[in-house]
This record gives sequence, C-alpha cells and structure tokens, in this order.
Amino acid sequence: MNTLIRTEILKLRTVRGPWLLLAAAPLLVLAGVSGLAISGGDMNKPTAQSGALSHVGLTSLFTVVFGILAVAGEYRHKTIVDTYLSTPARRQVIAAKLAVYTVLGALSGVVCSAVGLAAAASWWADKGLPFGWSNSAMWTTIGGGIAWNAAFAAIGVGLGALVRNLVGAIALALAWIALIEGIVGQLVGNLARWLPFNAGQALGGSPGGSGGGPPGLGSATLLPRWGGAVVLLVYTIAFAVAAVTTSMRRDVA
Amino acid sequence: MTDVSVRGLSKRYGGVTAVADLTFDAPAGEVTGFLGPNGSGKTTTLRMLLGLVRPTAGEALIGGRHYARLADPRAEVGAVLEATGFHPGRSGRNHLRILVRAARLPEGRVGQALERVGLTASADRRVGGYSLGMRQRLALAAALLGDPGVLILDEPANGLDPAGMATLRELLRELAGEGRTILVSSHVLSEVAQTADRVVIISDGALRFAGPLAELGGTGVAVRSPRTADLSKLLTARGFQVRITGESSLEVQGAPAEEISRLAAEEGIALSSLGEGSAALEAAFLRLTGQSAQSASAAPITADIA
Repeated sequence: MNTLIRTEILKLRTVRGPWLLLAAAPLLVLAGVSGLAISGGDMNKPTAQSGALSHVGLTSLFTVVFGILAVAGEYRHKTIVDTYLSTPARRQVIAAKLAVYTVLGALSGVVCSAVGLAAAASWWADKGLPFGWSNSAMWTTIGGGIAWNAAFAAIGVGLGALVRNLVGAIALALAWIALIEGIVGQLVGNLARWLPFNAGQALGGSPGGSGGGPPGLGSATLLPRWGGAVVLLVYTIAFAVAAVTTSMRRDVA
Repeated sequence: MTDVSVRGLSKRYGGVTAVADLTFDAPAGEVTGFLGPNGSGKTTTLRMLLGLVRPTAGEALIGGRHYARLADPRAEVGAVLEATGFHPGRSGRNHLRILVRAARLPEGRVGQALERVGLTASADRRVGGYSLGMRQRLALAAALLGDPGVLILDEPANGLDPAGMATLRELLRELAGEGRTILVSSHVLSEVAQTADRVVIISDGALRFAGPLAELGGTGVAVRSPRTADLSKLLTARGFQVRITGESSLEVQGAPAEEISRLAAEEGIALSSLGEGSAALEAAFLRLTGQSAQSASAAPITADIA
C-alpha cells in the first residue's frame, strides 16, 4: 500500500493539470472574500466572519473534479492499462488513490483557509473593524469546509471510477452541483437537505444561513453541521465502496 | 523459463463472440507469431492473458498461473498493448519512473531501458511531442523495465516506418536470443515470418492453425497465371503437388521456381507472378483466415499441439 501511495504521488508530481486545478481554489476564495467586503455587506454582523470563510467549503467544486482525474484521467490517457499491469490488485490501486486524493483535497482546503483568513483579516483591517481570531463559529466553518473539500475529492475518485469517461464524469459532477440537485431538491422538498451538496453546505457553510441559502432548497433548512458531516461521510463511503467493487470486475479496454 | 498457455479460452460481449474456445501454447524460449485479420480476437486474447479482460470461459496462463496471481508481474511479463497510453504532459522518463516505483524495481532500470530502445536523448521531453515510433519505443522500454522472461506484444509494428520495423525485428530477434518467450501479434504474416519460430493463426476468434512456420506450407511456390487450369494440369503431370488458391493463382509444392518457369515457357503459358517463400506463406495465411477468393477450405489445421 505504501508503494502504491508513493506511486500515486509521483504520478501527480509529474504532471501539471491537477495542480493548476487546485491552484484555482484559493483564488476563488480570495475573490469571494473580497467580493463580500467590496459589495458593502454588513461586516459588523457576528456571522460575517464565518460567512466570508464559508467560501473555503465551496471550493469542493474543484476538489471533486480533482478527484475525478484520479481514475477517469487514467482512462482518458489510457495509462490505466500500465497501472493495472503493474498492480493487478485493482482494489488496492483504487484504495491508494482514495487515500492520496482525500488528503490532498483536505490540504487544498487548508491552503484555501489560510488564504481566506489572510484576505478576511486584511479587509476587516481595511474597514477599521476588529477581526475576531477566536470566533468559534468561524473556525468550525473552516473545519467543516476542509472536511467538505476532502469528502468531495474522495467522491470524485469514486465517481471517476464508476463513470470512467473523464468528460462525462466532470460534466455529471458539475451539472449535479449547478443544476440537478436544485431541481431534484424542489421535487423532494424537505428531503433535499439529505442531498450531497446540501449536506456539504450544512457542514462547511455559514451558520444561520446569512443571505440567499442554497439554491433549490427553498424554505427547507439545512441539516445541523454534525448532521451534514454524517451524511457526507455516508456518501463518501458509498462512492468509495462502489468504486472499489466495480473496478474489480470490469474489463479494461 | 516460462511458457504461455491458453486453454479453451472464450470471450463473449453480449451476443458477440470475440474469442471462441481457443487453445494454444507459446513455448518457453521461442517466438510465437499470433496472427489473424483485424477484429479476429487477437487483442482480446492478449488482454485476457494480462488479466485486463475477464474470460467468459477457459483459462489464459503465464507459467501456469493467472496474471493476477503473479508475485512480481513486471519482472515476469512485459507487455506492449495498442491500448497502452501516456499522459501527454509527462516526460518519457517520468512515465517509466512511475512504473519502476509501482513495481519496486531499482531506479537504474529506467536509464537502461531507455538506452536499449534508443530513446535516451528524448527521455526528458513530454510524450505529447513524441512521434508514433517514439511512443512505440517508449512502450517497449516499459515492457523491458522488469527484465521479464515473457514478452507479449500486440501489433508492435503498427504505425512504424520501414526503418522502425527493421529495428523492431532486430530487437525481437535479440530478445529471443536471450531466451525470452515472445508472443507477438500481427495481422500481416510477413512482419513476423522472419522472426517467429512458430505461428498461431486465428480467424473469427477461433483457431485455424498452430504449429511451426514450416508446416504452414511456406515451402511452396505461389504462382499467378491467367491459365491456371492448364498450368495445374502440366505440373501435376510432372508429379508436383498443385493447389488452386484463387481464380488465377495456385501453389506448387516440390518444384523450384526456375523449374516451374521453364515448364510454363515450353508450353507457352504466361506467368504473371512467381513467388517463393513469403508470397506462398501469405497465400496460406489468407486461405486459413478465409480472406482469399476461395475461402471454402478454412477448416482448422492443428499441428503439433503439445
């Protein structure tokens, strides 16, 4: 397993694409935090700081695509053949990918948090407001956001292993987040809170739902933060198990 | 030394049978040519050997074991598959480093393999800029990393220019000379005729011939003439074995080409072509795989299945 993990890391180190993708995440956080300050929102509100840092969780959009690259990217470039020739134990290959991509998803969340904190502290100082470093709601939002990043990276690995077509898997993931979950949410009403993106919002979003709220959820409320964590964990495990088991049997053509 | 054996191997995709009850051996230390027209099931067979595709029935074994059961797959089997790919943004050297790491081989093997296939100068360039021939060489280098006793090559000559083909042939001969078991597929018999000790010919997923190259009928002379019937009568009368292989072609056993030419000239029969060796081999191959004008006699001929 150690060998497989080191192999996966070397694969990532020798290409640029995945890193460019992850590099976009902190830029999004920077833009999001700055946008909040520039648009003149009420930064005195007690929830304003966690609202700003809730952008960390939203970068899960990037980590899910990053995760998809793990398996579907190998099918795209047909390197999967060499991977399975080196390691016929496919279960272990997928498990190693899950481990590496989940950790890197979390690390991406950590980097985004650092960038988000720096940006927020600067804007707060710019407006002459005190930045509460001990604001516990902000820190739980950050922690939830990092966990959401990690979970979506793992879900991405699973999705990529199930769909195998890179473009198809990315399109499906983005369409789900941007469109499908909203539509399904309206159909199922209050049950929408159990859907993966809404569970992520519950885990890494700002408490109290300052403004807007997730699209499609309507008047329904998100799960509590711990509830979001449990639901997202269940999705992650389900995708991981499905990925590992289907990879065992399928023909590689 | 390791041999490759295929026993009653079948693969069905839905209602389509890609490989049908195939049985053959690639004996240790020999070069076995695996021949058949495009779409005859060669690639599917090789993928089943390598554990990439799950057989519907039967077994494909390397040294008596399934690929997935090999303790050290890269050190036992090297494979060049058409389906093998490279990340275009990764250098050739890094591609090999990944394989070496996965197989827990010494890093030094990367340089050795690059040297062997003559790719050292371009090793640090991105694969996206490689020519087809360079990619083939990189795939070959990957197969050689573990210094395996068995090499499985799927259409390695595809896309190579004549110089590349010559180099490949030379390398195959060299690798065979080192005592490796080589199974090399092709849809063109002449590509492997010079290197193969024996051939396995399949068509529509089923075995047509398995045995030494000499038994394929390559000792004959392929003759084309507008007057096949007259020529056949003439040669048969002289005691030579003649087989009509097409509307204007036949194959003669036992007569040297000069003799046939002289006899035909005496009778005033024009010959449009007269070919020894490879042409006759090719004719036999086409007949076995049902690609010639007369495909009625495409029954399996099995010789020397140990």
